[in-house]
Amino acid sequence: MIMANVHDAEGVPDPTDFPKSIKGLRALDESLRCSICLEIFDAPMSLPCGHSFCSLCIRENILTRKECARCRKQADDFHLTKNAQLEEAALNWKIARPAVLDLITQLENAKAEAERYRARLEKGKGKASPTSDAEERDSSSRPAKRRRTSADSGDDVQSTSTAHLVAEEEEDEEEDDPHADYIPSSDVEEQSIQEDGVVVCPINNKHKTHISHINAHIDSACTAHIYRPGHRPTKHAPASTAKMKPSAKSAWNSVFQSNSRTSSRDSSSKGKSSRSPSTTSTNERLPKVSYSVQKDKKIRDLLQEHGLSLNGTREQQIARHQHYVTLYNANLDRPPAQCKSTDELRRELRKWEDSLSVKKVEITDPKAYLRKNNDHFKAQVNALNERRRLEKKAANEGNKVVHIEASEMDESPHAKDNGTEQDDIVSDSEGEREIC
Amino acid sequence: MAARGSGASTAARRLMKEYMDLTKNGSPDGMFTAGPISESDFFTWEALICGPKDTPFEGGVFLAKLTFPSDYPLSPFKMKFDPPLFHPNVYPDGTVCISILHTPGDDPTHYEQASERWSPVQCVEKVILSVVSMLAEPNLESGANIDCCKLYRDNKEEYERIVRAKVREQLEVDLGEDEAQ
Repeated sequence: MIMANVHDAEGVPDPTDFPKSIKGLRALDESLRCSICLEIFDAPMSLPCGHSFCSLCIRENILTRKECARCRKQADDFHLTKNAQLEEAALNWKIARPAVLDLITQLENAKAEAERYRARLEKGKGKASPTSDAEERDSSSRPAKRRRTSADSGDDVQSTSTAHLVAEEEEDEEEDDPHADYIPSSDVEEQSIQEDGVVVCPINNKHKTHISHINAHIDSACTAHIYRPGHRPTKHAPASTAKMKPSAKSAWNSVFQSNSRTSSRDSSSKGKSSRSPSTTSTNERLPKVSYSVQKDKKIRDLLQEHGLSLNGTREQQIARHQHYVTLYNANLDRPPAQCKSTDELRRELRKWEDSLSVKKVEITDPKAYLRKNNDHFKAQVNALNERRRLEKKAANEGNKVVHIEASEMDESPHAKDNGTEQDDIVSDSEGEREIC
Repeated sequence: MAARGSGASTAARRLMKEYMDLTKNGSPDGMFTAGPISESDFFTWEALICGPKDTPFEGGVFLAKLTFPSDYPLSPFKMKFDPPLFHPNVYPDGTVCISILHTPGDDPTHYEQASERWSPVQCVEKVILSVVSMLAEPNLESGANIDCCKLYRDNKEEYERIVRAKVREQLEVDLGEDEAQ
């Protein structure tokens, strides 16, 4: 009961939700979590060393350190491979977790109640101690009975929630079906080789082509060498290619969209089922950019290309683009149902940028703020002017420069002095900006 | 509260998880406690660390402030003893100099191995445990308080005497404050 409260209150589920008394559950929950963000795996990727992390987490980590976060073996983007099995386990655990927690709570409630009941009986027995043997036998048999009923109720809980789980598993299987359908389709294709060597394209399942042209057909994105009954298979048909282009495109789209439509049902848990077709049509990762050799304009172009804000300094722009590329590429590692739209990615990017400036002081009324802090700003401006005057003076009296520097050096170990001085400089510039 | 939990940034969520783990599981041997100073700011923590046994720090209780960056756990947090601790690896202002809190980029002393550096799978608990073992066994190669390093190397007895005196002094100050209250 207490557990559930804490769990609800914090709203951040973690392995300690599970009691230690149930062997392995806590460890299981831990092992299905990314060791960087401590969340249940989101699009887990494996490194050659065998460690897995959320795609986004490890991609961000590789940006700063090209190593595995756990064992520090060398690692890079291209080492990352999708861990489909783990992904499935994590997705299923996400569904099962609340059910299991619920089960544990109910079990504990039942246990507590049984305990209370027994205590009450013991009390009653203590009072009525001089009663007959029969009575005593009766009371001693009752807790046992009670225990059994509590166990029964426990079983009930188990059976209902297992039924629940089973139901969900079945749903999962249904969701997997499209993929399941897809694989046998290659068998179908093999079977469907007609006597004249015409086969159905394994990519879009629509176009027919001669077996000898199947590779060329696939290489041309299913546009060339399309077989039509009555026509002899042509070797090059540029006119028909041009004609077929839109339909081929729509065929591609239909392939991807049908996939997403069938599997977007379980995305309700994340509440992010809306997808723009733009993400589905392009499945290519964004390349990394070596920002240091790019001109400012190029960086702005890069940002504009993805509809990102052009605010901030060059460094901020680079950080924004870099993070967007990471978000985008990590998003592609998600299963189609969990993929987010570019709009959502941009929203996430904004959230990330906001989180970077956590201690931002919000100024609602700039004028009032100025008035309120006017004295402070003036004092700082005066201090700055005073320091400049001193510096000039020192510059004039060449010898003294060395002396002042030396004295400053002496002071430097005192962190406090240093700190306040730095603060001054920073707030000086702020103050000036405000007043200007 | 639930809304706050789900809407928080990655860093805040991870800190909440670490805090939950520390409060529910406790620290090994109850050597330290740590948690955010206020509800509103999850990025500033306070830790109370007991001086390890069989060291001159035994019996002392040391307060440290942990400051987390907004991109935690990609970057390590900072740890500062307040009041400063007299120790070879603690700067005179109280900041702890320990390899586990350094990113591969910064190596102030050039004596650290990459394998000991910060990685995002490290956590508050592991870092504080490292600090506790650092209290017991200072690392003279990467000294932060040079005077203290010298003293430790040349006259360990005097070093231990000073540490003990400081621990006692600090405890007395605490007692005095308590009485005043």
